[in-house]
Amino acid sequence: MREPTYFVLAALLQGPLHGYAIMKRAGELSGGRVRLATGTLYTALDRLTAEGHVQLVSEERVGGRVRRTYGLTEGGSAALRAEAVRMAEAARLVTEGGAGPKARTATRKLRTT
Amino acid sequence: MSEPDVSLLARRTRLLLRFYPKAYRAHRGEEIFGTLLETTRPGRGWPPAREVASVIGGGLRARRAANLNQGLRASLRHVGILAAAMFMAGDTALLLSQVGQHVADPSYHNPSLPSQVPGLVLSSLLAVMALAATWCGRRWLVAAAAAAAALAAVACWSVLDEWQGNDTLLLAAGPAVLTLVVLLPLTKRAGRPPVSLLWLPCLPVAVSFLEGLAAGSGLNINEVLPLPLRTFRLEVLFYPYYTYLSLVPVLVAVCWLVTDVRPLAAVTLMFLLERVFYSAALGNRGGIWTQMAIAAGLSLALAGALIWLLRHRARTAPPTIG
Repeated sequence: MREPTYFVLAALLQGPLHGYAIMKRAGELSGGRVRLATGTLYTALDRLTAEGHVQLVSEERVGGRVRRTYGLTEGGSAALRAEAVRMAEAARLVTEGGAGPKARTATRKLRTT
Repeated sequence: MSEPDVSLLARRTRLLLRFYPKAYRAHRGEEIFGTLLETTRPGRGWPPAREVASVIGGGLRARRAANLNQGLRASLRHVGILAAAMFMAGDTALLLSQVGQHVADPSYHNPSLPSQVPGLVLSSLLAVMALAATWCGRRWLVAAAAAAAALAAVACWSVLDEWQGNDTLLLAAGPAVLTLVVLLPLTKRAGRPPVSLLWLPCLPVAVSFLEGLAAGSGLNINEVLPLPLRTFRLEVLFYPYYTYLSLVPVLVAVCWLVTDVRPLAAVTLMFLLERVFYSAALGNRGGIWTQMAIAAGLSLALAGALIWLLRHRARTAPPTIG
């Protein structure tokens, strides 16, 4: 999963948001590192909707303009958590010197012999 | 933001949205429009540069996805229609170039041209009508207009002293008849070619007429062009399209790379069609075998690219909406 996709899904974790709010929230969550542009956001939303990770929650008219709100599906939520676990494992490889349960077991065996 | 600023920004933003295909705009246009306005600081006349770039990129990706999602059979049919339409447009462009020269300077070099002008204009209008009918999916109007264009072309050539029987007849009526043979079976009410491809056959017609006007006024366009465009001319290979000033192959290549393989495949097929036709009409087969081999090779390579792209569309293209 690419970083912008990860932060789009993460932005929706707290609840449904509309397009501009997703862009702002993704920017905040990433500490300003991910700055989604409008074209990129809607291409990502198209793809994530087609993959079943995101769904349209509501549609309203604000100031004469259509505003659609998107939310995470169960599949999207699961994919986001799986990605977070994968990244945490990858981070532990560096911070703790092990790549996961197997690597930790191997490291322990090495220490005991 | 004052009222005129908002209106100007809204107009420019809507213009920008035209990078997306129509069906996509119908579904998402208002939503993207609203988001773009929200991302623009008050007082600005345009959305920020990175937003503009992302909308252009997103629009081209959506166009590419829409083109790929049509399937192989429809795409190949569009390639055939486009190639035949360009062949006819190239022929019409040459006629209109002469008319343009005559309009700008009635005494311009060809003494028999005045007697030809009504026939040239009629033949050109009928050819343009046949192209329009193709894009509307009106098969019998295509047949009637192309046949009438062929008759008008024969009539206008028959007034010349240089009439040389069957060879001249083939040169005069051949393009319209050949185009008719290709277009008639491919024209269908359902599954009409997209309007976004229409610029390709229309461009040489407009450019040739304007270039004819300029030439009649004593202006040689090739001399005033920037050097890269002049040196890129390949009129030996691209004979009917030499009035394009070689700009079109560049535009088509860009169009192909970012959105669609069909225009370039059609251009190549058109060159092949044109080479075969003129070798049959003029009898100089020996000198053009290399060009035909290049055109045939390019056609095969592009057909392969088209099939590869269509087979891999699920992996490479984002979904289309609308």
